[in-house]
Amino acid sequence: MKQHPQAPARTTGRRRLATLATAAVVVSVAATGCTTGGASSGATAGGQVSTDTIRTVVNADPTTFAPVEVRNADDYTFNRLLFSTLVRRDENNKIVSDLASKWDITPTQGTFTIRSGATCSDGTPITAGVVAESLKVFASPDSKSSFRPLVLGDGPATITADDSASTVTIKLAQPWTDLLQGLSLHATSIVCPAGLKDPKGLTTGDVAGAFSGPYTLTKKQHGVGYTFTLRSDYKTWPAYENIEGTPAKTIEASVNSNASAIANELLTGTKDIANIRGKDTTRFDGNKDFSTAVIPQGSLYMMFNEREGHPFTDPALRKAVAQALNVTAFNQAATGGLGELYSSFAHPGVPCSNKDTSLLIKSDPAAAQKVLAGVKIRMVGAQVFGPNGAANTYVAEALRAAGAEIELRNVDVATWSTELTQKIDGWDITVMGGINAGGTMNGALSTVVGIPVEKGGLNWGGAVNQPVVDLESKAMTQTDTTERCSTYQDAQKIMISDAHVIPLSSLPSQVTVRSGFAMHTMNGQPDESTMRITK
Amino acid sequence: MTSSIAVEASRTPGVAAGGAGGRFIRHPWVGFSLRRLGGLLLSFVVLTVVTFLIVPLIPGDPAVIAAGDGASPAQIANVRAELGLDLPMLTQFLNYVSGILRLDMGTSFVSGERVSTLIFTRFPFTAEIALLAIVLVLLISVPLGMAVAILTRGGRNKWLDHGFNFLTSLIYSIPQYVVGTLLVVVFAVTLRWLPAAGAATLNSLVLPTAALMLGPVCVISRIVRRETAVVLDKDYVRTARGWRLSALRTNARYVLPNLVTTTLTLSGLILAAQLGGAVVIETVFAWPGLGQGIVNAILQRDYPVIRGIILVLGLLATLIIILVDLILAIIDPRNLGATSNDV
Repeated sequence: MKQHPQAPARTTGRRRLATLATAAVVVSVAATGCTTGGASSGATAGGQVSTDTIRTVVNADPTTFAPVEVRNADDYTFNRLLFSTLVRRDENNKIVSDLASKWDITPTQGTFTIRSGATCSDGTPITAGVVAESLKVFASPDSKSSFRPLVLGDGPATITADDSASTVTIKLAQPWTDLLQGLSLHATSIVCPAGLKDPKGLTTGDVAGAFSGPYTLTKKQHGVGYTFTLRSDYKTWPAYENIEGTPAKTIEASVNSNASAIANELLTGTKDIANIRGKDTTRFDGNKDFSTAVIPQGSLYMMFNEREGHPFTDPALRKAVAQALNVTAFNQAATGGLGELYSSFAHPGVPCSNKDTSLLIKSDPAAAQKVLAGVKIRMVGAQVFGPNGAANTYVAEALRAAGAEIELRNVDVATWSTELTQKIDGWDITVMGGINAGGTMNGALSTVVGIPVEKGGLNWGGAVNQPVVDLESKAMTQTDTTERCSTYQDAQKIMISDAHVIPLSSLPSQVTVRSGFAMHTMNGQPDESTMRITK
Repeated sequence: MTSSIAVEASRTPGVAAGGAGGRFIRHPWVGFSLRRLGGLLLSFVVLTVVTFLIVPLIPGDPAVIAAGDGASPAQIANVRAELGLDLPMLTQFLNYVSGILRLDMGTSFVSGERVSTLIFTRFPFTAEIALLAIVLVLLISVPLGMAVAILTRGGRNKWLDHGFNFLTSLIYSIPQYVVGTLLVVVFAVTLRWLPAAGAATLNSLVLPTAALMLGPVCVISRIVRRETAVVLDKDYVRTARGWRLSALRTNARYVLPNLVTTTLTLSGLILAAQLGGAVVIETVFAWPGLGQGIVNAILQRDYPVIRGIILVLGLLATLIIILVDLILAIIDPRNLGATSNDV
């Protein structure tokens, strides 16, 4: 350290130092003023709630505002506030009206009558022509939407409008009875002409006139939060039954991926509605100030690499894996026991999902040991399934206990999905977390049967499984629900009894709502446009 | 105290006889500026190359992530082409460098927003808690360290010496995320005095700033205590006491200035570390700064955002260290001849 010089230099130095210190404080205070603001009407630490604002949370910034590009749960949240679809799926999978007041469906065609009085956020009337132009973008062969084949099938679709009759007609190249349900999906939302004219602006949410739904985006701050304002001219709410309360004039959605922090915000009164995951959900048990609804964020099941040269082309080995596992223990490892045990790879809210538990292969570790002893297995697991991938660790240890020589790699989701779809010969078995945002049986089957990923399909498991594909095709010609479900039951019987998949449990999350507010979940999926103030 | 000759010498280091041009070139400020500018340039080049090369080593295909769940291989291939990931590495590097030279860090793979926009949105939040924390650290740790040193001088108040050492060691040994969580449990969840997370209100600053500053307060106050103890034993301080100057005046005029070099140097390094090290605190408090931004970007394999944030944080850290050197040189011109490592 240097010794300080004599008085004159000290005086100059101190003055300069004082000036610099003052500048630092001023910069600090100025920076403070730049970012954090004063308490907003709906955001006070004391837990006071304004009467016209709902404060909610999303886990991440939206990847896009363009409906055809939506990819994840947070995209869906924003989509439901900003856009309308032709129809919506009410509880018990009942299709109700949104922009379409009525519809006429055959296996190869749907005709939809557009409600009168619907307008875009810039006041443009939503006519049949407006709807058709938006759907053409979704149906285009080079559509960016991964939902397109779930809604329209793989073939081309022809979309026409009759403005005089206010009807839109969709003609399909192949029978596809998922069309009506598919048109309730976020990706099929109607984009107004202003948004279609400016695709880049639509993606970033910067086209004020693009929206067809109840809210407009009035403020966005990446990584911080988004503010939505209720349109005063919006009257065409989806015809859901049992929706009570008043829509909020303002919805403030902050960005926060930390479940504990979100739970803290709810408990301390700074948030009203949020979806939380993991052990923090239990902090609301018995709390009368909150109502909760557990929904399946995904369906967990064992998936095998059934490509030639891999051990699990042998059905005996697959069944032995099912026998080696105890689903209750798995559920404990994966979800802390909070998940629901499943009897299908599709969650119970999906129409025609199997409820017959007799199809499941029963746990029998002794029998499993006879088959699995000495079998070499490479497992890739995603760390998100249980704390630090505990679900994968449980499976690996159960198989090791059955005598298998297992090599487990627990990796993050990005690496996991890349390994399973791009390095198809590098794995034999995985715990799959099926999201199935479409909520259809076809959507649930698409990752385990049909064209493999390496040949341009969606099937990660690799085995085409033609008998199941044929049943799927048959179901797409059936408009009678009972017949259709019977066909899908046969398909699920093959998948489960032959252990192409081993159903395990749900990956739960919890919609947590403060007293005085409400939000509905439909068939296991939240719909943010149903957020209401009830007091 | 030093002699006036020494002071004069210290005010004009390195100045030699010669013409106006020669004097300019040999002027200590020119050499100082050139050395720092060279360091900054070198840091920029190294950061640019290293960030470009290491980011793709993270396992996982950004195109798969960007295409989303259920995307077909054709859609993934389209996304890869759109993102420019199908180009040869050299072409990608040249595009990256030419973009940076045009002050264009590209667009996010995930959101399509400009990286510069995302960084400018998040940066003030990180700067806010980092700056506030360092100012408070200085305001607390310097007087605290000095007070303890003065009160324990010559082996007096042993209990204070031991207590101070014990407490600062204890607090510093607790990981930041534990400190943050404890603060939330006590002040947000239990007492409900302050918000648990987010940046919606001005009082949201309190807990993250407190969590960020507690560790550095302990370190710097210990260093200030040690440095003060050394200075208190110096002849010029004894002389000042001999002049019967008040204790306040002696400490303020003769002790404090001699702590500035060490304290400022350390503070600069800590502030630089706080910028990047705020990752944990930003996660605990859902604070929307660059730390949280880079974590999300890594999880999403958003290469341009990862590179942009690392580049900005790296350059800022370098600038802060240069700024500290500058301040030290203004305060004590003898530092003009020193390199960063000498200080």
